[in-house]
Order: sequence, then structure tokens, then C-alpha cells
Amino acid sequence: MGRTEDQDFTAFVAERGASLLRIAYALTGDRHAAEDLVQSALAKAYARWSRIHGDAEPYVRRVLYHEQVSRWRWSGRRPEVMYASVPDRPVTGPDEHTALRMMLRDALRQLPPRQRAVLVLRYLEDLSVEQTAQILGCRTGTVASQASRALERLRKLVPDFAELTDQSEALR
Amino acid sequence: MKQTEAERLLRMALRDLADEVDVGGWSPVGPTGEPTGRVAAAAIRRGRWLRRRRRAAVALVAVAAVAAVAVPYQLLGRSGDALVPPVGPLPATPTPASPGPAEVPTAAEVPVVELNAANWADAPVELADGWVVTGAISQSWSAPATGPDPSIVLDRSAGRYQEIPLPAAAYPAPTGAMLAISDDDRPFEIGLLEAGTDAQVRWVHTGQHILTPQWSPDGRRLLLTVADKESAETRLTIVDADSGTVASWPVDTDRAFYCTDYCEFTWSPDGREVALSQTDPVGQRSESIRHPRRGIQFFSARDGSATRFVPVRGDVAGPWSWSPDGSQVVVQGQQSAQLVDVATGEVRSELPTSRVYWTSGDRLLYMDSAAGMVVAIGPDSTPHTRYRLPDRLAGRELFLAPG
Repeated sequence: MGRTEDQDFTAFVAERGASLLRIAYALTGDRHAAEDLVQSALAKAYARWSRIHGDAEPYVRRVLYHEQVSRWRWSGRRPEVMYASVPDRPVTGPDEHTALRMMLRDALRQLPPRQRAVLVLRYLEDLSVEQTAQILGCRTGTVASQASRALERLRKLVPDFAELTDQSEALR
Repeated sequence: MKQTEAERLLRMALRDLADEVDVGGWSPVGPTGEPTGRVAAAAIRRGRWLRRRRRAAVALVAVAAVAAVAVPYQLLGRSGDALVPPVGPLPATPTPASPGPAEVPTAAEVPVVELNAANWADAPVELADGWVVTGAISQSWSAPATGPDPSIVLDRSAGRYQEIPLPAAAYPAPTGAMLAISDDDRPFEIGLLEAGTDAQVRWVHTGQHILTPQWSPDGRRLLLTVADKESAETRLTIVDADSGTVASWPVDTDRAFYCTDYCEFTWSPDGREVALSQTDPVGQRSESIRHPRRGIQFFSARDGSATRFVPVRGDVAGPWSWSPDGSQVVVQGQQSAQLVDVATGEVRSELPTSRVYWTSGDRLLYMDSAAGMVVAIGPDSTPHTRYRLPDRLAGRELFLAPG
């Protein structure tokens, strides 16, 4: 790879690196794991740069999600972000929904990688079920079932969220 | 489409989570835009390493084609990636001179056997009861500057250790020369490679396997826990190392054999059965600790059928977790590693870790990563001997087997 391509790659990292790190952090909930994930995806992108540089970001994002989900296999010897119990409702906050957001944020960390990946793609990246399925390499039905399980778990972890979803129409 | 309040809150919570990371402190590139930044430079370094590996593999394909060398294995994967450079001898590492294996008493009165000799790689690293270190893989996900840390395996025919120049983990069989290669880039396949030869990796399609591959005690079959994305099935999968034949059976972990959390198939000590921990459906569950277990279910390794159930409430690591007479087993309980009576489920003692190798009736080995040692303990957890590992092996995940 020539210097021009190195510069091209570096410019891509400079432009999109922070955005990729945010996604990786949402997926892992841990800064070091997020950096590791981004670096690994970027290395793979660099190795194939001549073929993907015109469309690098979708490639890197796919690698990010795939790696995070496949790393699940190593969970037996990788530290996970754990909580002794569901975090208590904060005693202070401007309103009830702020407290709920904070509890939801903490509960999101407790979802398994696959479920969290589906929620990040659907509700952080605003992708459709079909687009989510395409990135994760699974069927749309699998996306729906993973999202459903994730929401069910969030409802259990955050009862106030369950009440809210009961009052409103179901999440899509 | 109307956005519900719940959906709006979920989006905001995800944004809150993503925003927690301080991207300002992250330096992807240097101040002039050159790849001097930590992340970009490391990615380029590792990316180049990946490219070199691929080129080497492709070059070997070409050489093999010109020379028309008969290869012992049929290539089942992508031709460009299927070959790997031949395994090479492990270069000597500059370690402090040592008189070789020798017992040195410590203040704690637990003898330390020094194995950190400069020429350690030239002979099997021997531990208690004639057991040896058969391999080691990196436990780090972070690639060092030189690229991913290669696996190290014992070439039994040569009696010395070799590096496996692959960006993937190599799991040595406890007997013989076979290695299982697990590559994150090939999550649906497992590689088989014979150490100490110029043989090539034989990639076998298995379905997406999770956790780690596990060799049978006789080193002839490989056990995988396959999680089929499409069908959402968990499959007990066994690969015959000689023939590459794959046998796979679905196991209903949602109902009949309910398992949550760490659900991994492991070999029984005689290699005739496969064990799977069963979640206690009525036990109190918290995500902060391992899920409660009600026992271990066994399945036939011949046809996948359910065979027997034992009231051992914990997760077993592998075939070497069982005592030689099969009456006791070491498991990971909800909060600690425990030695358990198989017939009654009674906890006999607590151990430092559940990842143990039971080498004889009264001796178990485990890896103390922080100290860079393998420790021999009794069933009551009393330490007997510590083995100081060569620097090159310390801190890695080790594989041990009878010598």
C-alpha cells in the first residue's frame, strides 16, 4: 500500500474514528474493549483498503458488529461489565424521565452482545429491521426476536420502563 | 410512523451510553494528520501484518501448484486463505541463565521449580505427575506492535516448542500432533493442522461455534458448541480429526435441557459423553453472578442422545476437571470454584479456580497468571509445588496434558 493510500486511510480514521468509537462503546460498555474493537476493525479494513476504500465505513461497521457478536464466544474468559443489582433509581434528577433514562442506560450494559447490537443498530443508528439483518448477517425474524428479548429484559430490569411500554404501543 | 415515548427514551438512553466515552481524549491521528496517532498507527501496523500473512499464504499456494506437491489434506476453505506458512522452530528468547529445572524452597515453604531456562523451548516443560505444557495462546485482544501474538505448541515428535504463525488461536490435542485452529475471520469453520509437518490447514465447515473448541482426552475428536444464528439452535458438534467428518445434534437448551449464561459442551473424562450444565429454572437469578444450576446433563458422544444427569451444581471446564476415578469434579459455582462430590452434589472444598487439570488422585494443577506459575495443589486446595514458567509462556492461557 502506497503512501497515498496510507494518507487516505488515515484521513478516514480521523474523520470517522470518533463516531466508530461511540458505536463500539455502546456495544461493549467498556472503553478499552471499545478501542480494541475499533482497532481490530480498522486493521482489517486497512488490509483490504484497495478493495473497500470507496465504501469503507459500511465495511468497518459490519466488522465492528460481527466482531462484537463473535467475541461472545470468548466471554468465558473475558471480564464483563457487571452490576451487583439493577442500579437504584437516582435520588436526584430534573424529572422522572431523566432518572428512567439513566436506569435504562445502565440496564443496556447488562444485555448480551447480540441483543445490544440489535438495539444499537435499530435505535442508535436508526436502521430498519432489514438493514440490521443485513449487517448482522441474519434473518429479519432473528432481528425481531433478538429485539423482543432485549426489550423484555429491559422491562424486567427497569420496571418503570415496562409500565411505559405497557401504556404505549409496542416498540417496533 | 409515530415514535412512542418508550422508543424515544430508549434512543436517548443509547445516545447517553454512547456519549459516555470521551472521544476527545482519543487520538486517532497525529497533529499533522500523519498516522502517528496511536490508533491509526496501530491499525496500519496490524493491517500490514494481516496483508503479509495473506500474501504468504497465496505465495505458498502458487509454489504448491508449480511443484505439484501432493498435499495430505483436501482444502475445504477459500484457497487463498487456506494455506499457512509451515510452522517454524521457536526462536530462543533471551531469558536469564538458569541451571534448568531445580527445586528451590521458598519462605512460604512451598517449593518452586524453576522452568524459566534460556533453552526452555528445546524440551517439554514438565510439571507434576509427568504432565507437560502442550501449548499456550495469548489472552490479550490487543495486538502488540509486531502483530498478533502467535500460539506456541509442543511438537511432540521433535520434543520442542514451535510458534504457529497464524493470526488465530491454535489448540493442541492432548495426545498426538493435531492442532485446532480457531480464526475469528472464519467463525463458521474450524481448522485442523498437524504440528511439526509442512501440512496445511484443513478447514472444516461446522457452523458458528462459540466459546472454545475442546479436544477429547484421546486427542481424536474436537467438541464445539455451535450457535446457529438462523435457527437459533444450540448444537452439540463433534469433528473427527482424522477424517474431518462433522456430526452435529441440536440440543433444546430453551426447554428440555434448559441452559442459560455459560452454556458450553465439555467432554466427560472418558470421552464417551458430553456434559452440559443445566440452569435451575426456579433459582434466584442475577446478572451479577453466574446463573444457578440444578445439575449437569450428559449426552452420548456417539449419537447426541441424553444419557444421564448428576446433581453437580456448577459449570465444568473440561475433561480434566474430573478426578481420575470420576467421583469428584471441580466446577465454577455461582460465586467460587468448588470441588464437588459427583454422586451427592456435596461441596467438599473451594479452589482458587475452576480451570484445573486433575493429574492424579491427590494432585491438581492450575495456572496462576499473575505470578506466572503453574501451581500443584491437593483436593483441599493446599499448595504443594509451584512451577515458575518461562517468560514466553507466563500470562498466556496454557494447555496441559500427560507427557
